[in-house]
Amino acid sequence: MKQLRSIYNYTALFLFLCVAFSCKNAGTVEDIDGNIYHTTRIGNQTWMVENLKVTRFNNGDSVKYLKSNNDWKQEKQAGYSFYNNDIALVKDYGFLYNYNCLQDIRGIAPKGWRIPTEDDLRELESFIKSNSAGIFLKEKGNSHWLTSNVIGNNATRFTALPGGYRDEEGSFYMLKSNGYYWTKTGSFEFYHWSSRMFQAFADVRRDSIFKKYGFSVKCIKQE
Amino acid sequence: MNGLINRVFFCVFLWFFYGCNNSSQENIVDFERTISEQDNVFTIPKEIKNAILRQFPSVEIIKKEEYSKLFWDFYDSSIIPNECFTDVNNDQLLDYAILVREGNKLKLVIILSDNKDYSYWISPFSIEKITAEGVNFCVSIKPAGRTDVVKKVPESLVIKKNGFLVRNLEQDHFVFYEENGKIKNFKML
Repeated sequence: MKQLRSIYNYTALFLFLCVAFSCKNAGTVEDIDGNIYHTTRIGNQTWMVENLKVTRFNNGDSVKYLKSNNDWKQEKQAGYSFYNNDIALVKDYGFLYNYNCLQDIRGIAPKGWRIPTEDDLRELESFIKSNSAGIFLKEKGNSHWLTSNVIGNNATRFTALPGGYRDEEGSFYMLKSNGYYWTKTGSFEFYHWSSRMFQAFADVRRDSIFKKYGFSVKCIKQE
Repeated sequence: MNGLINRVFFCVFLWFFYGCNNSSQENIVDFERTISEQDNVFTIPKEIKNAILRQFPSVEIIKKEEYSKLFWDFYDSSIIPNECFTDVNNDQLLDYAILVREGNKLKLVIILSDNKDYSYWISPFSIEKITAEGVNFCVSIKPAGRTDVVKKVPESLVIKKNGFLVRNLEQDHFVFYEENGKIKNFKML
């Protein structure tokens, strides 16, 4: 009887650990720096909830931190920065990456994840099936977004944030009012006053100057 | 004692399993239904409107009732056509724009916020001569980005910060934007 109880206890412990471990993997993803990101399932896609803040490629090489305007302007390689070089903003808004980061084969997205494409955005929009997709994708409330009459409700848990952008000269703009995210070939945007998701700001195929811009990154899981 | 531990173990296991199942499941939401949760309407604070009238004693703030019948053929009656707000000078604070009348001239007032105070600017020219039919112009936000127009020759405007867009019915007419502390305008027609 005592032996049976012991077997039962060990089985329960084993199952508990299995569930706990698989649960951790289901709801989060870890980058090479050890940053943990929550994930959300939207239709058939899995997106990162927090903005990316990794400082190394997947092979361990460092992504260059470009602090000064001159460094940012001159750099022809992959690089990142953060808004106004204010480290306190990184926790919430993550980093602003230049275009070369997305194209670098060493990869900044965690293993098994990638930078979204325009097709991914089409699929996201078609799942939401609304002209007001921004409402469902923006973080709920005004803790980061400026006041407006179209406050996000984050029904998808996508948690779009107004991280602003860095331009080709190295200047930072529009924190708290506009959020810009990279796709493989351009940006998609959210505005504090709008219920929609836009794709009008940066298209590197039409104007290569945008390769020198810095935007936030939200990765999508390879399915 | 052992039985109690087993029961606690079992409960924790079930709780974990439920939580895990919940976090990995597909997000199924009736998205449109969730919009109805929003019932707030933010407008320019009254003290700012009063301050405009003190700054520019010869103006009156345009009221919704002053809009032409034609205007409401284009727009839904729930919109607020005569005012809007966003950050136009990149300081992470709301700035405001509001349409006013000075006699029969339609003008735009822009209020720039800073941490302690506001600065007030009024367009030096008339946007429209207001007739008995009513007002046809509205103001909205122009997000940072590039605007190309073709007048006699093609012209482009690139604004790094948000601006204010003034429309004649549905036609873009002016962009007002801040640059080096000054308000500038770009005529689109």
